[in-house]
Amino acid sequence: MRSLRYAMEAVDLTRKFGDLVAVDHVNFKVEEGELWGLLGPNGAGKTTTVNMLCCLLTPTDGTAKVGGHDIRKEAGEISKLIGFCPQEATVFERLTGRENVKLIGQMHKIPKTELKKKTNELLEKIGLTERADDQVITYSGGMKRRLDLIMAMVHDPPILFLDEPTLGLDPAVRRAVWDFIMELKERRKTVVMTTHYMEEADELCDRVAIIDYGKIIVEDSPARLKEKAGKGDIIEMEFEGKAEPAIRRLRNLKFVRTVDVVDNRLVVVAEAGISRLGKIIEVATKAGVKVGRISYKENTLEDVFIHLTGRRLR
Amino acid sequence: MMAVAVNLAVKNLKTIFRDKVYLFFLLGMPIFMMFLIGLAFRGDATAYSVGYVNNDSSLDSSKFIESLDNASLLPVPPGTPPLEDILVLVQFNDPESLKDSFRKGDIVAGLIIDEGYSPENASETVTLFVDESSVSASMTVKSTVTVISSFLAGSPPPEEYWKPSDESISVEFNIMNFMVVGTLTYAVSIIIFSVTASIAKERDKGLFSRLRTTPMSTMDFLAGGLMSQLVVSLVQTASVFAVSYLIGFNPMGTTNLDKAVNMLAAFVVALILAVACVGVGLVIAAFAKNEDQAVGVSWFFIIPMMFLSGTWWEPQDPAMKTISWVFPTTYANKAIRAILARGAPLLSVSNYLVGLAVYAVIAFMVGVAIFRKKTM
Repeated sequence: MRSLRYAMEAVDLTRKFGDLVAVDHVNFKVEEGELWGLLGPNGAGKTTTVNMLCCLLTPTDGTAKVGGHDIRKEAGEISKLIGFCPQEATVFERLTGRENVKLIGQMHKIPKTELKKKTNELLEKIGLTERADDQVITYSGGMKRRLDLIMAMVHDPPILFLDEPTLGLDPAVRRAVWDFIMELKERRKTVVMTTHYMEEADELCDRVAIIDYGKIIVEDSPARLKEKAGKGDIIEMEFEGKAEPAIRRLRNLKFVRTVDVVDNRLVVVAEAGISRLGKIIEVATKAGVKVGRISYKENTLEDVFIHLTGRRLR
Repeated sequence: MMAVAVNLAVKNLKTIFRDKVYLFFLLGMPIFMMFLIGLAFRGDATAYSVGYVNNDSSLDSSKFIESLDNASLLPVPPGTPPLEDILVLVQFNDPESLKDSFRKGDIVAGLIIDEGYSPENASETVTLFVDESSVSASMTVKSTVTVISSFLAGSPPPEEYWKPSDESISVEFNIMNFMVVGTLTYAVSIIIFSVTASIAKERDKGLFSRLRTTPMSTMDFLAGGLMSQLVVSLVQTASVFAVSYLIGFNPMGTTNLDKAVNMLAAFVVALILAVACVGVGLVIAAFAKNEDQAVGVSWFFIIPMMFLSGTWWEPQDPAMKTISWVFPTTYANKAIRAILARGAPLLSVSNYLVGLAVYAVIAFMVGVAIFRKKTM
């Protein structure tokens, strides 16, 4: 790969399916060695964006460069630079784990001895050595997913696309996959990762773009995004009665950043909100609202999404 | 390109041969069918039940019945093969009960001998009806009755039944040879199902997309698929021949070398048929939206092909005969039957071979073009 500041650049990238605009003129740049996350709810356009960047879909409008190559014209060159881990475990079930990894290596024309060594190393790394010669059809979902990941990196690509890499995994396997991704980051690989798990994006990504209805609505580091959504604690209150007077009065409090109604709950973002919980309940009650169950937490990327769209991610 | 295609072919073969259900469809079913055909048609002689009503009380009519029942006892002219005891005569008291039995299928033919029968006026006093739905029964009964009637009348029998056969050009009807060839082309044509199902499955499961993100080209993918299907068709052909040998199939040829050459020629035709079937499979796979649809559409093509292309029987209707040329198995059935059942050399069936080869090239090229357009 040529030495570039940006491993990826999208300009007005658009994809339509009939009348549906799945990806709507998105623009972004991903720096070399960066772990860039595309966060959004199901159907937001994350997978379509990744499929276009991997040259699996032709854009309807706009274009993008991956590793300095145009996705419209240089798919062959791009395929040499990327590793792709699709949304669902995509493995040949009648082949063994070892044969699956080798097959992708063979497609990249890795010399036989080197491929054998690399395959063994990767299988060892994800703890599949003992089951490496069993057909994949006998593997659990987590094992298939781990295999899927190493298939994307057997040829040691500088750019990796991970589409929902932890979707449907149990917490232990998810943690193992996170460790694996962190290692990629340490090795200065450029990683584009889609997810709808906010904690995943928060924990792993250098920068996150939040996509909704095919448009990127905000892009920044997780810390700055959370800051933009409002510093402070998040207090969620179940309530009965008219919310508008309570919202008005709560917004007048100096320490309150935002007040919204989401899923029939009053969501209040307030500085030192937990210690001022009594005051918040008092104001809401005086405004005619009967407060029910209360929960509180620190600001997350989901709150950023709520702040921007008024909806939850899931 | 070659190394990548070979790696993909190996992957395909592992996938096919490790999947028991798949393997049964591709190999087990044709072998099982061949085995059943062998059981159904094996045996040196088949006896056909023929009912009769004798309204004549003369010795001549009794001798006629006895001769039909024991044909092997009749003296034949020198140099001619003896007649076989192939008919079993069953007496009925009246024509109605004879016809009832015929309609029920208990007998394959009926004879009604009128009063006043003599060997010289048999054509006027003997009524013969046969079950035309059974080709072999109808041919055998008609020929045996004709030959014996002629013999008893002291007139020369029809030449076609008495001329000593020349082994090298024998075209003796052999149901086993007919069915072996049909089973072989049926087995190879299942490749259409195999190609459509495997491509649609890989596409549905995202495996094809995964491969497309590697430097693999479309031609690598298709060449790998073709190679693996050709290997499958070779294994199918060899398996069908092996089983057919065990159950008594004997291809034409004066020497063992002739027979081996004829078998090899049949392999060549089977391989060309396999290429044509891969092409048809690619077209179906390109249009099918998912695996279920691909499988359904492939059988929608395979079943009419089996019925109309002479796989199990020859179509009789002239229009159907014309339509049958749209199926690759029509060319293959004719070519392989000529080679294995009549001992024709490969070159003498070049018209069918050229037809099949042209079909294969066009089907494959169209398949590749549509597949690339629809899926890449």
